[in-house]
Amino acid sequence: MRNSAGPAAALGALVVLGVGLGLALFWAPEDADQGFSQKIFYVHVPIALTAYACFGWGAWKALRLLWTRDGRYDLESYTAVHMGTIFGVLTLVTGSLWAKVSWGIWWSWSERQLVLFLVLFLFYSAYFMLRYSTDPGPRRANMSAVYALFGVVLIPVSFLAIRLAENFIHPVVFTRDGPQMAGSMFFVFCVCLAGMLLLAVALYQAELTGKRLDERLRELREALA
Amino acid sequence: MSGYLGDVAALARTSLLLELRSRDTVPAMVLFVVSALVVFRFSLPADASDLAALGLLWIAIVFTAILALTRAFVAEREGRVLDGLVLATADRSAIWLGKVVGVLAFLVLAELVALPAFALFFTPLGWETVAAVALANVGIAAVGTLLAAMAAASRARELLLPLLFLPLVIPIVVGGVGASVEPDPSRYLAFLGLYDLIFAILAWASFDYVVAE
Amino acid sequence: MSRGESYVFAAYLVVVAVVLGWLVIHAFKLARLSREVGELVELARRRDGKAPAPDAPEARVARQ
Repeated sequence: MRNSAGPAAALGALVVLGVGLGLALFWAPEDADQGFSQKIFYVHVPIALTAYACFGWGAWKALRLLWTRDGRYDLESYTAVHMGTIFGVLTLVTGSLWAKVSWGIWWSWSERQLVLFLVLFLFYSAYFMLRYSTDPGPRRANMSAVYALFGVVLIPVSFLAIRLAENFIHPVVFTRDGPQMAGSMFFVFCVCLAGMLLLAVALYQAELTGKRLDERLRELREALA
Repeated sequence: MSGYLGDVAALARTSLLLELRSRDTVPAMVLFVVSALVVFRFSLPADASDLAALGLLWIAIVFTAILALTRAFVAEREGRVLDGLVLATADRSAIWLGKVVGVLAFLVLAELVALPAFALFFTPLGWETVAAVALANVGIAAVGTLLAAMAAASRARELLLPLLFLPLVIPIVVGGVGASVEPDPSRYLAFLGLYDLIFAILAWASFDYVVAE
Repeated sequence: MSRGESYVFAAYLVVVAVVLGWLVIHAFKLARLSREVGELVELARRRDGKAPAPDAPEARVARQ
């Protein structure tokens, strides 16, 4: 079981994310409008993008499973979706903190990203319900894969729906300056994004290795018993 | 190709004949949707707008659909007929299509009562709402049938189907409510059509993997 | 520390906390896995019926 990617990613994550967060807190210039609280952006958006990447990776592995009928992709797809959900929850929490500090409320329906992540969180929570209530085997692997594919298709469709819904939900519109970032801010953002992605890779590899070890130990136990 | 469509027609006919004989699903759906509308009437404050009521119509439709979908694979599961169907049909997506036709029929029958009831209890309905309901039916049936097959294969079954279904139905509700409520419904109807196209194709293509071993 | 600053640090702290929490879960998992490996080594040896030989596996375990 080759796992050189895991330790390398972990080391990379430690360095890059450490540097990135340090830069974010102490070096990046303060935003003119929002002040110091804008710095949540350096964790919130990279985490959101990493969550999307994890769901996409999970869908890719799901596609591979359905295409090749090779059961090993099931665990990889599941782990990726698991990581995506963890990062998704983190997105909701950091986004909520940002909303609280920006507008004084813990939740805002006008924040499209947050609403989208709420829908995705519900969707992928059902993914785990599906897995836990089905007996392990190729049937469960196939169904999980199909569901994971539905998930990534849902992402753009949901986003469109949320945009359309804004017309009649009439949220109190809070705006935040978009990516009108100074060059240095963008640089720090990229470093944090790279760090988060590396963190996701490291966690993914570690979790996958652990699950595979579980599998092989079970096989070993059956062989010896 | 006639083999495929023949399979589809046979399956659809079976669903409808079963329902005709047992007459349990559609009456239950009709009663449920009317009861739900009455409950909604009591839950809306006196000065609530017609627009709020239209939103509730869509909730009623979604949950009535869940009733139909929960039953979609019950008969097969109890008789282990699904395994036979899976072996018998050359292209298993025909099972999906046959079931979708059945679910659509049930939905339309229930809505033939629900929509006039809504117009009676709350506010008259325009052509946009009816068009939106028709489009939404396709999306609900397409996605719901696939998810019902998944839920039927699990141990949780009736508990699982709403959990799988509701997140995916959010865009439908947005499209439907938007078309009913907004002055320019065309965008929302187009969005419903897009949803139907994307998810119907996806469900049709992936059904084979869901029922196969 | 202003209120804005405390929320920023809260956000960063949440991320660190989640990663550390994940680490704790996996530390326990590693412990369980090594325990199971130990049990399986015993099972294997018992199945062979031989006395524990001072060969590679045991020596490696002892050196740890």
